[in-house]
Amino acid sequence: MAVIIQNLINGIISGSYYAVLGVGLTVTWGVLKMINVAHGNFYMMGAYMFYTFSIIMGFPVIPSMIAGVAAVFVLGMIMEKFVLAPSLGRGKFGDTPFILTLAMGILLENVAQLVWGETNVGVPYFNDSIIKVMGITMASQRLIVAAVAMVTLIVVLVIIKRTKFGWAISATAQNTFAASLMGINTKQIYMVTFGIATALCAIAGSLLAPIYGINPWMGESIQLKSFVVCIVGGLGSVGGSIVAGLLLGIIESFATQFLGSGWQNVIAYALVIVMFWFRPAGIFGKME
Amino acid sequence: MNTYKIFKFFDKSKSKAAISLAFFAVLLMMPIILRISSYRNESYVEGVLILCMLWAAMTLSWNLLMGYMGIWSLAQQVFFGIAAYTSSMMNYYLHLSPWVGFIVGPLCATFVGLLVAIPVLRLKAAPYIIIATMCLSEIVRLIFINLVKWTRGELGFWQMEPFNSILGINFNGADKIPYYYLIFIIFAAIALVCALLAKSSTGLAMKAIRDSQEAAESLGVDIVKTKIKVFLISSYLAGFCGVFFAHYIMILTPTDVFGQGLMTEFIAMNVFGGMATIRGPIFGAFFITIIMETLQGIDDYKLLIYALILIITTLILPNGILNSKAQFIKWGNKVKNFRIHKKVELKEFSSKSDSIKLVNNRIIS
Repeated sequence: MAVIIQNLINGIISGSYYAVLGVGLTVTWGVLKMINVAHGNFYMMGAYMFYTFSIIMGFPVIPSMIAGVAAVFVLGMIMEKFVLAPSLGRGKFGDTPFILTLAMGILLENVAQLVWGETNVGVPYFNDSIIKVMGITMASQRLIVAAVAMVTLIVVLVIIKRTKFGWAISATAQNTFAASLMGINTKQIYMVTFGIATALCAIAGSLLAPIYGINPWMGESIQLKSFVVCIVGGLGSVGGSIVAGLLLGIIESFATQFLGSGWQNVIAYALVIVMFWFRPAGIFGKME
Repeated sequence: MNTYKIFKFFDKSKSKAAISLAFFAVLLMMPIILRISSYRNESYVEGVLILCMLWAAMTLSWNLLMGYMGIWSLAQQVFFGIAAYTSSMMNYYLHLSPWVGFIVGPLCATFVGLLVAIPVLRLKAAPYIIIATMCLSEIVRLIFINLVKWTRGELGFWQMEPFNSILGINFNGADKIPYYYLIFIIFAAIALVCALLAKSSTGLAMKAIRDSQEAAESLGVDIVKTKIKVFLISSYLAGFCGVFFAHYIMILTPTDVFGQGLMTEFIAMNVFGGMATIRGPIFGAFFITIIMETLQGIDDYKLLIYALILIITTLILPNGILNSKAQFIKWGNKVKNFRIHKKVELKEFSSKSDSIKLVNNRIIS
């Protein structure tokens, strides 16, 4: 019983940052109508920015995290402005932006290799203590990760559902032309949305940096996992991504326990194929 | 005016045939030319050209799916890798000749192609296909990593033998010419098959599916049959490249063979040269392979330059270099207009200065 509860909690904790990553990707898809294969690389950039501010410059944890996320937010907006914006809407389904994000991913990975070197670097835990409750062991670092991820998700949901800016994002996602008729600056919305998506990556990256370590290739597996979250939740559905993220975390945690860590990713990716087979629009997506 | 003339020359089917004939003739003669001129780095140049032809053949096989039919399948490297692993594992465990691999490897790749095609057939939107095929190829990669017992996982499988001598031709690796002509034959055959397929009725059906699935269906194109057929042909062709790769490079690791890095290269080559043509992928593969080879000296910045080339070409020439006639004509006109503009300005300027001189002269006089 304790094993099952332990796995459940582990799953929810790792699922919470999958949800953060998945929400970023799904918002990009919903608004910009393109799939972003550089998502994992922005996650990597977030981790490196956090490393730069906290270890190299020696700031405390919270300011360096805020600075890192802000840096990646600006980086994402610059990338959108100069690389993606001229090509959006070209091709039948945004194939040109897809290729551009692919190139962007290579670019970011190589820049990271050049600037920070091709080795693993580490960041110390925010808090070393370990919590034990009823036979369930929890590192408080992981609890912090889950808490920050949950707060981030709630903030994102509130912004999208309750603020004028969020309504503008939803309007642009539904119909760009109509939104521009209503006086919404859709180009700016595109830019800021992409920035927010990359900032979400950066939050996940800086939270996980102490646990998994940092290297230029850390984004690759995360990239596909965020796709899994998006597909299972339904492309473009924010609420669906959150549920799917938690679900993926729990499934992975049990798969690691019972099948071994080598097969955990196979299960995650097979989930996508199964999902496509039975319900291509995802759990919460509308059938088109 | 000049740009129009150049394009008129390239538009004629006769000059097109002449160019492709010349290209293949030069490739065919290359080792002989190198041998006669007693160039010192002979085997290096041949090695680069072998890679060029290998990637060109692979990109051509993928172009059938993506360029002609518009199916963004990112699992082409899986067919390549499956054939490579099949052939080398048969060679090691069953002691079969690598030449048997050329029969069995592509067949295995075709079988995997069928397995990939079935889930993809149900999906119509390109992003779904991209994600599904990415996940499928990742699953295959992880399976090959985890079955350490048979594939040696990430350590790399290197126990295969090179091609054994056939018809008195010795493939011992000391001389690259036999490999050169082997890949030349594979490459030329694949280019021929692709060109014939593109011109056939299947090719027309493929293009119709790319432009609009609904319209194609209403005009009586059997979508499922065409898609499966093209998937099978494409994976079969990719299998040949895989078998050659396995017994030429002589080491296979799952990440190299099944990873997304290889697929990214095919995308870059295809996009760079121009999709849905035969010349595009060939040009792209040769260009990118040779550029990467020349940038070998600045290894750290190689991928950076690669990414920048990809971004810039995609932004200014979204259809690839060989497909952007309209774009080039537009630029030509701009340059021409600019020149005329400049001339007019100069004339005005000179006439003004003349009048100033006149006025000055009058004042002086």
